[in-house]
Amino acid sequence: MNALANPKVGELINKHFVASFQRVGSFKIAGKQKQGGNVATYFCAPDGRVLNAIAGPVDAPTMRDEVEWTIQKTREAIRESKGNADTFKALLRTYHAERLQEKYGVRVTPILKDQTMQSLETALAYRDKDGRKLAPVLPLPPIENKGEVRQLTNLAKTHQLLAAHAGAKIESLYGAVFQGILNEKVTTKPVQTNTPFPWRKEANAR
Amino acid sequence: MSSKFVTVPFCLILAAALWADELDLKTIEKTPTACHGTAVEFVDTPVEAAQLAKKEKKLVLVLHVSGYFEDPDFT
Repeated sequence: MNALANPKVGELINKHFVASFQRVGSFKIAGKQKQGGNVATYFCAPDGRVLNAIAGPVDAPTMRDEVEWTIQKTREAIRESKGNADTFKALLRTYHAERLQEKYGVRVTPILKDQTMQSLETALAYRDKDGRKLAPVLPLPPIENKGEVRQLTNLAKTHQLLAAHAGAKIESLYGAVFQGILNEKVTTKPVQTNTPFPWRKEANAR
Repeated sequence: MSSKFVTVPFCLILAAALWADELDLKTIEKTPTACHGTAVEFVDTPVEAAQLAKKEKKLVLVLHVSGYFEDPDFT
C-alpha cells in the first residue's frame, strides 16, 4: 500500500498540513511502456521555507515517522527561537544534523549561516535543455566520518542537504533534491498540474 | 442616568455586529480538495495551500512529481 493512501498517514497529514502538488519534469507517454519518474515531498512553513523533505518514494511507517519528526521539531524550533528567524533556521539545520547522526551514523557540522553560493545568479545551476538556469546547485556539508559510512540512503542525503539549507525556499531547494539526490533531470520550474498521479484511473476522478 | 442611554444602544449594536460576523463565518466557502486516490486532501496549488495553512495555522506539504512510475503505488 502506498504511504499517502494509508489512512493513518492521511489523517496525520490532513490534521497538520495543507497539501498540494506540482510537476517538476516533463511527462513522456509512450504507449503503455514503463517510463522513469520520481517524487519528492516537502514539508514547509506557509511562506515556503522548507522544514523537512523526503526524496523519493517511501513506505507508510517512514512517511509517518518523518511527518511526526517534522511537527515535533518545528514546534521545538518555534519555542526556542522566540520569533528570531535566523535562530529558527539554525535550529532546524542543527536538528537535521542530529537526525543524520542518530539515524544513519553520519556526522556533519550544520551550516548555520547562508552561503552566497546558493543564489541562482551563480555559475553552478541545474539547467533545462536550452541552458536556462532552473535551480542552484547547493553545496553539501562534508561528511566527517567518511570511513565509517557506507552508502547514504536518499533520506540520509536529504537530511545532509537540510543540515545546510533547511529554511531555504522550496524553489531554491527542489533542484538539489530532484536532480542532486534523485538523479532525475529537472526539466522545468515547478508548474501546476491537474493530478499528481495521472497513471491512476481513480486519481483523475474529482 | 445618561450613561444608560449610551450603554444600552452600544450593547445592541455590538451584539448585532457579532451576529453578522457569525453569519459571515458560516458562509465562508471551504476550499475544494481532492484526494487523487490517496488519503490526503490536496488543494489545487501551493499558493492556495499556503494561504489556507496560514489561516488554519497549519504547515504546508508540497509533492513534486515527474514522469511515470514503475510501481503505481510508489509513495
